[in-house]
Amino acid sequence: MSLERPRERQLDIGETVDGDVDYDALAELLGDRVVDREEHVNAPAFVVRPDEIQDALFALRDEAGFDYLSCVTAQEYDDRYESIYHLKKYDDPTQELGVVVPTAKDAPISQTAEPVYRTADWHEREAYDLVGINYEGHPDLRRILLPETWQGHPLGQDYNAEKPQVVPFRKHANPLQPDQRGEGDNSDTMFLNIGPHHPATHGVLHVKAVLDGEQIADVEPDIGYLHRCEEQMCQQGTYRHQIMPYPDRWDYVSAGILNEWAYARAAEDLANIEVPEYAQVIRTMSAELCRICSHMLALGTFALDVFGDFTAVFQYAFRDREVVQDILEDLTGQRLMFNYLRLGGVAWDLPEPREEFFEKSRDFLDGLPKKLKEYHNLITSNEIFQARCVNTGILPPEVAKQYGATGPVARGSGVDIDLRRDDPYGYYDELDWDVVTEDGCDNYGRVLVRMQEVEESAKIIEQCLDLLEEWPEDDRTIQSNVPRTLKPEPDTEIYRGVEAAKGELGIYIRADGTDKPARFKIRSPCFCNLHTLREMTQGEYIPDLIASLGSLDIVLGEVDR
Amino acid sequence: MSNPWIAVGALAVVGLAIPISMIVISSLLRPSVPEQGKRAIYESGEIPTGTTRIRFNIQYYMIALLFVVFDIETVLIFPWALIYSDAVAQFGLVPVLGPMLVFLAILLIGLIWAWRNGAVRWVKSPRAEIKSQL
Amino acid sequence: MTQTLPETIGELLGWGTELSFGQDVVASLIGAALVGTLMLTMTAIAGPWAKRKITAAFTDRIAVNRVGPFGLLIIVADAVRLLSKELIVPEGVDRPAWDLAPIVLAGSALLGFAVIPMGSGIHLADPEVGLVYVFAIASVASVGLVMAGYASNNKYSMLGGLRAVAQNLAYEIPLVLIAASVVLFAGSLQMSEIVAAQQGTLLAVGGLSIPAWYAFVNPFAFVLFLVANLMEVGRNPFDIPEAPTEIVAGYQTEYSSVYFVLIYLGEFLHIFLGAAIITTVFLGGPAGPVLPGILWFLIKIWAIFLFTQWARSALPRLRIDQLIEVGWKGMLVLAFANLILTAVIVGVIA
Repeated sequence: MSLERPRERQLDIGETVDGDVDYDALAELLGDRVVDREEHVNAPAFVVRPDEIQDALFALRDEAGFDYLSCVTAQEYDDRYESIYHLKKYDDPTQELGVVVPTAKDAPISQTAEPVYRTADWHEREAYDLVGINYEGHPDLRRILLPETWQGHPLGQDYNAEKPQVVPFRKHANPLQPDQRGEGDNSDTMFLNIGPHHPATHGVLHVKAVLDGEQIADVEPDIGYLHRCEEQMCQQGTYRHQIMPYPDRWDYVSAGILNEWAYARAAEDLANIEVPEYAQVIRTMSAELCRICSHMLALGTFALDVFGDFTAVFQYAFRDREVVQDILEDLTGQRLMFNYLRLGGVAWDLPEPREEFFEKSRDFLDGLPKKLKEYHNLITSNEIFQARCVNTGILPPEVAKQYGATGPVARGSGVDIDLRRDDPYGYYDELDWDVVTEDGCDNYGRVLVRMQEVEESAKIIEQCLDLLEEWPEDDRTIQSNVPRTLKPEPDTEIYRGVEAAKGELGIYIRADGTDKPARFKIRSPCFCNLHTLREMTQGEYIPDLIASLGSLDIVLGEVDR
Repeated sequence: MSNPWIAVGALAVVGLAIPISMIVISSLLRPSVPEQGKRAIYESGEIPTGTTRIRFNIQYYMIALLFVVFDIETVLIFPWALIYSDAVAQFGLVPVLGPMLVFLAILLIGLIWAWRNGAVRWVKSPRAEIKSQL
Repeated sequence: MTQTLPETIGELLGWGTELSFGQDVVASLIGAALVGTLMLTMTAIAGPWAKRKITAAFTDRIAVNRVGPFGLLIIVADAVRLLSKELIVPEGVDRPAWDLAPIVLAGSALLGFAVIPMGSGIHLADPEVGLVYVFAIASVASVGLVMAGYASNNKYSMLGGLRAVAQNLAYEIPLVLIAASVVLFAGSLQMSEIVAAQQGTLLAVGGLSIPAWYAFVNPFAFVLFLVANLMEVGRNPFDIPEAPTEIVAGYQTEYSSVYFVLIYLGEFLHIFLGAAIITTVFLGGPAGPVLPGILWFLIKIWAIFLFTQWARSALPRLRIDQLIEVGWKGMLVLAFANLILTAVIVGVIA
């Protein structure tokens, strides 16, 4: 069966034969660096002293095989600050481990994890920005989501949201003025702002580029233009109803149900809610419809970046996406902000008459192979397209892993990770489908992965439709019995990810006994994928930078949250 | 037979008159609301940083030099092409075609030499290497 | 010797074909105004209306259809809209060059039409060096692009201007060499002679006769020339100096109002000029059955305009360094091969 793959590699330290983690062995490996041990719902976590974190992480990465830093969550308690490093393995993401680093309230200084996991760079900057933990030894500890001139750390406990942000004009005049790397008198490089108002940045992304001729001498994405305090808003909503509408707004281009599932999965595991099988099938189907939508958009906009105009490919992709949106509209009543999942199930059953819905969906699936062939004729087999995309935007697998890349970006680099298969949820492990990987590591590989994933999604939807059609009528439970108010036990913590359209969308929730989360952290796949941009554009040309950016398929709503 | 250059000159007058009249019409129609903000140079919505009047890396410099050589050579080809048919009829194929083949061969050898020495390409900048941060 | 437009006008005014200097100037100005008006009308139709309709047809859309029949009045609406916009002069532009560039772009493209034969008696000027003249004039546009790019004091514009130069280096020599191979056939640089040389019949199969247009005589050169021409007019896949997704709008980023109109006009005139050159050199100029010559001429250049729009809808853009490779390692070598082969064949036949 396609969902299994041969496992011939040697076992890491702390790994058991049947693929579980032996946490005692890991504790032994870390020795007295482990101060304490916490139990999170997803996996146990070791408490490590802030000045030994690098040693601990090095040991875990190199000897225990935890090569994937999925997320860094920072939070402030009444008596301490805490950073949690959520570690996983690319080979088997179910083998998880948390590393908790408490720091003192009066001097929140912690050693940086950046030398161990490159992806920690941005994660720690975010933690510094929003919570206020200082990471010692961090190469570039600046604010990342908020402006440089922001006063205070919004997720800290002493933050006064009422206080006006008065910033003198001289600080705002041109925050980039001193930032002209390489532009002295004797140099002939040019500093160029690409974005936030640029035709090809897919939203309000600002890329600071230094050009030497047509080539990129340095590049740095500057994010935060679309920061909407999504985490804080979720912390102010109740588990049961008020959080679910928000995930639609993270990756807002039609990947809504995938995002909702991320929250649903985390919250359901946190509160021990069972989801009826029938609802799981509907979830799986609607999520894959969203994935097709999202990949179509990615394809269309990437073609737009490479072709250069709103031309045939873009319009074709949108035309086909429109059909999926119609199906989703029939199902959820919405075209963009679906708000369709509920804790313990989905909002409502398939639309009546069911036959019409099945027919419409089947029509779409039947027409899909022909359309995909058209795309292949028009895009991937075009010689100019190949000349532009093959061997540009190279992201070697090791680099991708270091940057915590997931989703089509990782799979386009030959990293075989897909949470739908590796950490099954929903109905995926009952269905027959394949994980697509390409070894090209380039822009072309990423496009191919997305196009083939559309086919795989179609396969999944087809099987779901068959199941739904034959489902006995008296067994169509769409929601399990969920209490009106959810109050998980105080201090239960969970980190759960799902495979969203762009990669692993993870949610960390800490409950404090009330009906609202005490900390709600979103691990955005786009955030990590965008971090790889600089590696991808090594020595490349301006057009390649644009193409690479397009191939990452970022959505700024999810990067900035 | 009229002098063709009079007609060309006449079109030049028209070719100038059309844009200038459009500019005049537009200046009568359009508003003028001078304001500092909108006069800023467009740089994707950020405040422009640095200047454009810098010494900039022209990566096709060698090609530009080659271009001059080949451009002059095409000027030489035109008179030859013009009289080619008549000349072949008068002097035969070899004396007319031969010298030009030799001329073109020299050029082609020059092109191959430049090609092999890496002059016929976009010169990659050594400074444009982004160091991996791993 | 065919009749030129000033002579035709002279005849219509009752001056006969032998014009005095003064009569010649007056007739020429009238003729030039006519040609200018024709070209202006064509770009007016092409820019705001035909381009949208064509692109829409390629992408399953409808495009303009609200203003007037088939949305044709959008031409007037757009003209008024664009001309009545405020002209924003950015800080630090190099004023004379910045103002001059749009005029150079529009004017030079128009000037090229002087030597294009558009039908019997509709041929403004017929100098003996017509072909060389038209290539020289067509290249002037590059100067305009660089002026616009550098004077704008905008980084995107400067990149666009520099790219325009690089692009010019890539296509110019192949273009001229292919034209030289046509001169081998025609034995003349005079446009009327080149058209006249294509009058014969190449092949007669049954009732159909294929004319001896150079596109049929030497299809290889025709295809090469089509590609080189796409580079010259800077359309996809060679719209590198503009490259909307990379450098915003290249050299025209800072232009607004009437200057934008002029640049736009210049671009379309340039496409039509390129089409007119191809028509004259490869498609027998205004020759064709039944319909009058001017109509055939218009049909042919619109067909080539359609081709550029087709390429725009379907092809990805090359990178500038790849363009240099295409120009120098592909097109140039092929153009040389074409020239030598043509010379040998023509020589053997002669």
